[in-house]
Amino acid sequence: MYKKECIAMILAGGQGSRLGSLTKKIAKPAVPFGAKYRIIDFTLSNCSHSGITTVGVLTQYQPLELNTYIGNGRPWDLDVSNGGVFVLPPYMGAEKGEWYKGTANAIYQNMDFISGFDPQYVLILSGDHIYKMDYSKMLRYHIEKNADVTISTITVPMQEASRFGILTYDETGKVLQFDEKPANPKSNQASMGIYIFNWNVLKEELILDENNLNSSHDFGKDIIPNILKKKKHLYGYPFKGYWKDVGTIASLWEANMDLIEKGTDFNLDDPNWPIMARSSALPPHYIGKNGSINQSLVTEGCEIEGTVEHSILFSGVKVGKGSKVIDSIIMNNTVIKDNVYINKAIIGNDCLIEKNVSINQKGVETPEYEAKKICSNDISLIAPNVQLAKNVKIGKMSMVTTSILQDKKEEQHS
Amino acid sequence: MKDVLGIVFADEHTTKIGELTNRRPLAAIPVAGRYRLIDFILSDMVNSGMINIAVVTQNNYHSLMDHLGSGKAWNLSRKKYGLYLFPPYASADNIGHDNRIDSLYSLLSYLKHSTQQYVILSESNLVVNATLRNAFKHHLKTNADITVLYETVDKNEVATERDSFIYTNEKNEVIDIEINTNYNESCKRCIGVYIIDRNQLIHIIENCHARGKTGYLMNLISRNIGRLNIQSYPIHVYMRRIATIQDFYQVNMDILDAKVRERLFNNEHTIYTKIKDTIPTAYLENARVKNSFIADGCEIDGVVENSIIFRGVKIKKGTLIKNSIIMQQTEVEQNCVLENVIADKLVFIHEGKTLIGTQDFPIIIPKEKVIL
Repeated sequence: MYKKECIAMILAGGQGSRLGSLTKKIAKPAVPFGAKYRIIDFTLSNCSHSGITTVGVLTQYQPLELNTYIGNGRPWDLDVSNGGVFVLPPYMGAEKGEWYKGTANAIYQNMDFISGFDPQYVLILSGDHIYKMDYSKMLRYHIEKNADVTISTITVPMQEASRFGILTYDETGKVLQFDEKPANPKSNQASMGIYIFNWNVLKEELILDENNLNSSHDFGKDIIPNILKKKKHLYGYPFKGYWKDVGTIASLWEANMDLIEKGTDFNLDDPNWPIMARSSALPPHYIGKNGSINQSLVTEGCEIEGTVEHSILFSGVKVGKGSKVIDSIIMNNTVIKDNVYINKAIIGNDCLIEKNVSINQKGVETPEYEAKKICSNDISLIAPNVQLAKNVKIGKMSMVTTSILQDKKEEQHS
Repeated sequence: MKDVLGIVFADEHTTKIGELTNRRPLAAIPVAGRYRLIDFILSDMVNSGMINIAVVTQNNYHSLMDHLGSGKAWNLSRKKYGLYLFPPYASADNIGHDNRIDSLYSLLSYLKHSTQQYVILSESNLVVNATLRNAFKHHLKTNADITVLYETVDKNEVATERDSFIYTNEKNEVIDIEINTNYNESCKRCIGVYIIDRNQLIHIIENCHARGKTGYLMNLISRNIGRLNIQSYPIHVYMRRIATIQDFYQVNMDILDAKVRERLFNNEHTIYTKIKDTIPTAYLENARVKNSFIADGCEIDGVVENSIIFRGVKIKKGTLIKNSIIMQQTEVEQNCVLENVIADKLVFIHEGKTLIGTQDFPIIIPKEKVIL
């Protein structure tokens, strides 16, 4: 193998259960985002643009679609001969094999993979954040500071700080304290879950951690606090720019809508930092004679005969005559027939919404589908591949996971 | 159809369509929002199962090379066979090529080293999908030496200069051909696609070269009438040959018809093209769009009707675009009116301009033009 200065390991194994039925069949990083992307495209594009061409993607939960999507890494120019992108599921060894027990254990189980490239530094990333970041700048910082570990941080509002891993560091950037989700945060510098380790330091810590029976094998909870205790050189790298964890339905909806809003500092249209994605050659989209569209993002293969306002439409979506789509996210190949009303909803891919269906119409409540824990902020969620029969009405904060093939009223009549 | 080799002529022996082909071959003109003309026939070949395709270029083939690259987008970047680009080749007895026979002669060693039994020769100016498979079946069924693909045209339709027509007997055998004429008696216009046995083609090329004969159809068809079994195959589905600027304008407008879109763009027969990482199209507050076909990467805040908008076009507030074709990365500032306009790539139109052409004589704005 070739020696690499720095390789990246993307943690993409999480179930993403807070995304409800969106992640029923796919891992969180494979969830569609922003009309033509998947969440992991942002991290993979960042790697590619930062000159990191050896990338391991650690998956274990519903990896099929993610594997297919990443493929040989060509869309991200990661199909290089002495490196590339590798999907790394847990595997059986001669003596034992097990699922990834935590983020640190996932890396531990792939130490042979990393050693194969004999890197100086290992960049640990998470596959479920939306942001643009030049990791090579962070690496330069890490080298300049002569650090053992560098943690990228972002300024968060003080009142939200208790949701994050919070770092306090001195004026040189040296980390003094690290608290995972503290009740009384001492600073508003949150860890972004992006770490650069000197490989020899990480290797040593992973082995120690693996042998520690009390450990939960997590970077934030175990590895970082242990390294800090040993007075190793731990530095914080302040990142400025747009960064969003899209772990919940509300934050996923918001991050999508941020792409429409003017004045957010997130710009997809950056010739120096394009977000790359695997896409197929679909024809341009068509807006029909009665179509109307404002404040929306639309991509290839869509056919719009109805009204679309302030929404995100993924490839191949059809909106029928007289239908209205407002404040919503409609994923790939979903077909919306005529006279349908959809308001503030996330609709998964390959759904079929029949005529006269209404979703999230004012005053309609459907307690049987309500899932307040998942669908906060009045958002309704329709899982991928769901079919909604004619006249079905779905109220706010609902989560529909299986097809509704007959309207209730019709059922009573028949 | 792995046993068929494709030769696509991206040269300029046929036609030019004014400003649009000033700096690019006809094969590379942008069409239908995100494609280049050659994408259609190449995709038809690939979707039919062909894996060995030569593209013969003449002049100005930079944009074509840039577009085709390694052929990856058409799944033609392969270890064995794939896409071969043949730029002009000059040797002692052949100074570049100014005719098809010389072009084919320069391909001779490629033709001899390929193993496919059949060859499909095609022009690159066809907007078509999923026709070759049936044409080839017909070729086999009729045991033909050569099959000529044709379309039926109206008797009164004025033929453009370079059209060729075939005459057939009751068994659909070609009994006569008129080359480059505007006299239309038969109504069977050649679309420029011929199926032939590879060895037969090699024989014809060598024979022509030895005798200094240069006429393409003359030697391929005319001289073989009565000697070989030349069959004809009609195209009944939607198809358009781009020979004039009116053809070009019309084919783009045809795409606004749902039936044509369904025919040209369906999941079973993808039209492949170079993939770029274009962002989605953003519609802003003042956008009012009707009956239009719009590619990715656009930013639209104006009024767009009955138009084809290519990738990365920006249309500002208060501007009206009607019955027009606006190519990639063109920007139209505020309060302009464009009607029956074909704007090439990277055109910039300043605030408040009015440009109105007519349907049969659209205004063409050349590439990178700035209208102050």
